Amino acid sequence: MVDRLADYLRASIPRLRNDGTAMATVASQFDIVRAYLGLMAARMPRLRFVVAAAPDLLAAHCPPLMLISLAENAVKHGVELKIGPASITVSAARTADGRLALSVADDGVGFGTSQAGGGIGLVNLRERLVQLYPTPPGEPARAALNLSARPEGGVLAVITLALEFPAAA
Amino acid sequence: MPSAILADDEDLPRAELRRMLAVAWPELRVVAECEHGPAAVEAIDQHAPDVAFLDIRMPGLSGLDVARAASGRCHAVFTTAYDSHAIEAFDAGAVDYLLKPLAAERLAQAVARQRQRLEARSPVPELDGLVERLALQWRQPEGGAPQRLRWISASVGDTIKMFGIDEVLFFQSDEKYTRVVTAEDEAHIRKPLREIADGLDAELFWQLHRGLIVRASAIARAHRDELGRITLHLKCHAEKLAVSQAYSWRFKPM
Repeated sequence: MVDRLADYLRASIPRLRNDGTAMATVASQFDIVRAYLGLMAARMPRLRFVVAAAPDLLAAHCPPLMLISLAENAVKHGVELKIGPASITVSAARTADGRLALSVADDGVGFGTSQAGGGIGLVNLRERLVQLYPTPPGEPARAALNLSARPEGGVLAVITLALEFPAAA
Repeated sequence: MPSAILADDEDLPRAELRRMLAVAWPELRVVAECEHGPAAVEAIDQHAPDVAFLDIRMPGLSGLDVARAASGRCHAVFTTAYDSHAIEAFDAGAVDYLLKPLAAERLAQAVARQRQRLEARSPVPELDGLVERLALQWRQPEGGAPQRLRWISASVGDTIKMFGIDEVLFFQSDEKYTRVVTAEDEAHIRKPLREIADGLDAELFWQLHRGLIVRASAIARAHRDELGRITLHLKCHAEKLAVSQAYSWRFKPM
C-alpha cells in the first residue's frame, strides 16, 4: 500500500511543479493514472485495471490532471458501489479524423444509482478544455468531453483533442 | 459469549477493526465478515449476532439500509470514513458510530456502551425510524428538498447519451419534447419542461421564458434593444435566447 502511494506521489508531484496550464504528455498522464489505480486496487482487490496507449501516441500532448479526474469518477461512482469484481480500462487512440481520443471505461454501477458528488468535477473539466483549446466562434469545438452509458453496464468517458506533439527541442 | 458481524467492502479497514476489537473486546466472537450490504443482511439472518459493525458506504446496500433491515434484531455500530452531514445526524440521533481510521479510545467507548447494553439485556432499540431519518438526511443534506436531477439521459438512435446536469446550458420546450443543450452537444428528451423544472435547483437554473430554463452561470450578457426586449448571449454557445418580459427583472442592473 505504501509503495503504491509512493508511486502515485512520484508520478504526480513533478507535474504539479509546472504551472497548471503547462501541457503534459500522454505518457506522464498515463503514469499518474496507473499509479492511482494501483493504489485503489490495493484498497479494493476486486478492482482490475488496464492502462495502455499505442507507443506512437505516448509523446502526444495531453492536458494535465484530466484523466485522473475521470479515473477518480470511475472509482467513486462506478466501482466502489458495485458488488464483486470491477474493471477500469484507460486507453488512447487515434480517431478516424486524426484526433486523439483518451478514454476511461468502467463496468461499475453506471449512472442510475450513483449519488453524484457536488458535480463540480465535470464542469471544471469542460471549462479547462475550453480554455486550453480555444475554438473560434462558428467552428466545431477543438476539444470535447463525452460521457455515455456502456451497453454492458458502466460508464465510458472520452476526451477528444487535437493530436499534437511537442516541438522537437 | 457476545457475537458480532463486521461489514466493510474494504479488506484493510475490516482487518483493522477485527484486530482492534480483539484488544478492546476480547470475549467478542466475530461470526461473519461481509464485503457488501446484502451479505451483511444475510449474515445477520443466519447468525443473529448481538452487534453489527456496519460501514456506511458499501456496494449493494448501505450500512443504513442493512441496519433498517435488521432493525430490532441486533445493535448497530456504524463506521464511516467521512461526511460531516452524517456525523451531525449521528450525533443528533445518539447513534453509535466510529470514524475511520479507527481511534482506540473511541472504539473502547463504543465497546463499553455496547457491553453495558448487552449485560443489562436492554432491548435492541427499534432503529427503523431513526435510520429512516438518517437515510433521508443522508440523501438530502439540505433537508426537505425534492430529489434533484443528476443526469439527463436522451436516446439518440440506438445509443443513450448521458449529460451530467452540470453540463447543461439550457432547456427549451419543443412541443411535446424538451431540447437539452450543452456546450458541444444537444438532444431531445420526451419530458415536458415543467416536469424537468421540478428537478432543477432554481438558484442555478433560471426560468427566463415559459419555454426556456437557462443555467445562470452560462449567461455571458443580456442585450436590451430599443423596444426593451432582452436577448441572452451565452458563454460557450452561439445560440441567442429571448427572455420574456415576465422574467426581465432578472437583468435589472445591480
